[in-house]
Amino acid sequence: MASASTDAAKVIKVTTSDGIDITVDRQVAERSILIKNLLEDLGGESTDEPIPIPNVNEAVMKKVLEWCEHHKADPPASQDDDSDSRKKSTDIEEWDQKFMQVDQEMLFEIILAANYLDIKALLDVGCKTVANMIKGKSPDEIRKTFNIQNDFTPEEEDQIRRENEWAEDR
Amino acid sequence: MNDDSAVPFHLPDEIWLMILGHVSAVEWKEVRRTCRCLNNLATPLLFQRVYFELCGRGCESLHNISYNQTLSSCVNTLVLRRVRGYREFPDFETWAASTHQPGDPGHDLAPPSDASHYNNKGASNGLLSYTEWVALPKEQKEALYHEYEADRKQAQTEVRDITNKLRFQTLGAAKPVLVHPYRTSCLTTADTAVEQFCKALETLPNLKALEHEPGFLYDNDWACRWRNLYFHPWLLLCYTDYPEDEDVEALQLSVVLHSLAWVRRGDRKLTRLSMYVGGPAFATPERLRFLWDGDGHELTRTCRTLYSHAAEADKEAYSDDVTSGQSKLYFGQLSLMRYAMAGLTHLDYVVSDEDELVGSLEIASKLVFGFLSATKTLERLRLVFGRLVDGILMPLSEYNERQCAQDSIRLLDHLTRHSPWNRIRDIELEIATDRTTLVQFLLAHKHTLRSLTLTRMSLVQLGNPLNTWEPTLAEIAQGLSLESLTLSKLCDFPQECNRGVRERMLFDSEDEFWQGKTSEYHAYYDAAIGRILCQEGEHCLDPRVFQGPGG
Repeated sequence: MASASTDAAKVIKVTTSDGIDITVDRQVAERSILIKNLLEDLGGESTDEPIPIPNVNEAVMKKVLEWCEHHKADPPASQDDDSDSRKKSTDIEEWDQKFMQVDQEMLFEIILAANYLDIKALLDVGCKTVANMIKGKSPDEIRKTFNIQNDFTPEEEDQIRRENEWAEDR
Repeated sequence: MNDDSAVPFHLPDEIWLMILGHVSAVEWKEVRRTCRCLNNLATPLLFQRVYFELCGRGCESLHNISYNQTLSSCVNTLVLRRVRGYREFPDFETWAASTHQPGDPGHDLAPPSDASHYNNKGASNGLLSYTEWVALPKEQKEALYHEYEADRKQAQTEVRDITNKLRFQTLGAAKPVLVHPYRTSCLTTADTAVEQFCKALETLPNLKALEHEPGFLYDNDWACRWRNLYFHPWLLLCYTDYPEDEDVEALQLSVVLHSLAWVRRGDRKLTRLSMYVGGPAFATPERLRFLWDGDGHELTRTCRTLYSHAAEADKEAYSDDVTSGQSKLYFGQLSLMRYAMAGLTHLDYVVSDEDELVGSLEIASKLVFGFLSATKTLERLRLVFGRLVDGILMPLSEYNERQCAQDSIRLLDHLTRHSPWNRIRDIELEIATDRTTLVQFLLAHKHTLRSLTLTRMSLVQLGNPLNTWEPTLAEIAQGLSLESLTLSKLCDFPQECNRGVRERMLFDSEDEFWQGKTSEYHAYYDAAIGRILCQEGEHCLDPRVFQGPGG
């Protein structure tokens, strides 16, 4: 049976931007390279002190930790994962697809948090989700999806359409 | 990074770039049209690689891009790739029987690969259905065949036409001379593809790489579709000839290298080049002349059927047509092409001649050596040299092991003795050779070489049965300070290959032995590579007897 002090080392606290302390398994929190590096810098001491995460609020942090909990046993990303074919793929596993079924604001907040916390796999899933929202859509549909204002003049629109014809679909 | 006011959706630019990295050019085009902000992000992605081919209007887009200030600065890679092609079918019946329209029961044919137009929803749009095709009256099909043939001949003419305005370029000469002055009547006032290409080369400020993507690597997709008809790739291979396409690719590549060498001479910004050279190509001045005449290598191939040695066949083919003065002129152009290599740091060079004629690779190897010796600043080399069929190195069943490898052995030996490289860090080889030559070649670069990849390599034993991969790899690891070693499909070529003795293949994840055992293969692979790099002596690498660490 593990001792109480060892148990304590297995959980850590993070403080969100809205001042909420969240207790979480260290293994789960260490999916974030930012937190992992901070803990390593502390050298295993003072893990009772909450780690401040000033860029992420409680709601988003809980969502991010839910993802980290589900993926805590995933192997680390290999170098092959940076291949062009992986980048182009927008396949998302079923659990992640359901996880990402949130409103657009929360989706963008998760992406920003994953970027800040340095959780590459979550950032990847977030970007793929947005990429899937772009695929197969016309410019007008993309604008509606992301609430974008068309700031082109008709002449500029024509020019872009002409330029697009010079590039090959691939 | 933009601020929130710049875009109505609060993601920083670098994240939008990651998102756009997950979609393709089709979406980049749509995204460009949404708003200025996303246009600024998607434009460099869409125009970083520009495709062209040297015929007809194949360089028009490149030309337009190069004259647009914003777009021209985005271009860092040019890709020579044929986008349209036709094949010569023996007759109407074969042409009609080769179609494979959506809904075709296909009989014994496997469906075309997933990458083909046929299975690509967007690309297959508008194809005639099988039912509509069979319902067409024969006369109408025949009329279509004649139109196809007319288009094919027009395309042939367009390819040949690029030779009309070719010029002999000579350093120090006052004015370049037309290769075919007697064809001035064929010249039009409009820029030809070659001129447009040269102007683009002069204009593009950030061009770093030139890639050549040979058509055969893409299932001949470019030749499969014509209007609303689709030809099955297998039937194209069965019923139509490939050599003509090989010559077209070689002609275009030779002109690209020639233009690159002339237009960007002294410019060291273009640092990456990939090229595939297949068949007789432009390995000698005489062969270059045949290509630049626009005739291809039909005569060369005919002579190859009459002689047992490639040099004799060449001699016969060119005896009547090429004078020594002309040979000198074309030799000068081949020499000039070496300038295209001068500033390279990365070179991917594939040379293949499927012909089993003795000496064909020996001739090819001389130009390869000439080009490679010009690459003094090279840091990464991928060299594939040999008889390749669809990119796979083929052994020769009719010849002994020495004959199978002698030309590539000689090439590596020359490169060892006259190595031009003192910065090379990364070498990838796909070639047939012997233990001593390979080890000496690699050790000649031991001061800088840190990464090695050996793929589809055949090792001949040259009379010594101990010359297998185990001692060879041990010797390589001992002599080099490698940080990375990648091995796949290493073949110990049997001395009795002509008696049907099978080769031994190592690191072949597709071998029957590994079927359904992917993780076991990875464990074996990692353990074997680890042992080689740690120089733990010679262990048998045969997976059936290999013992991992502690074994």
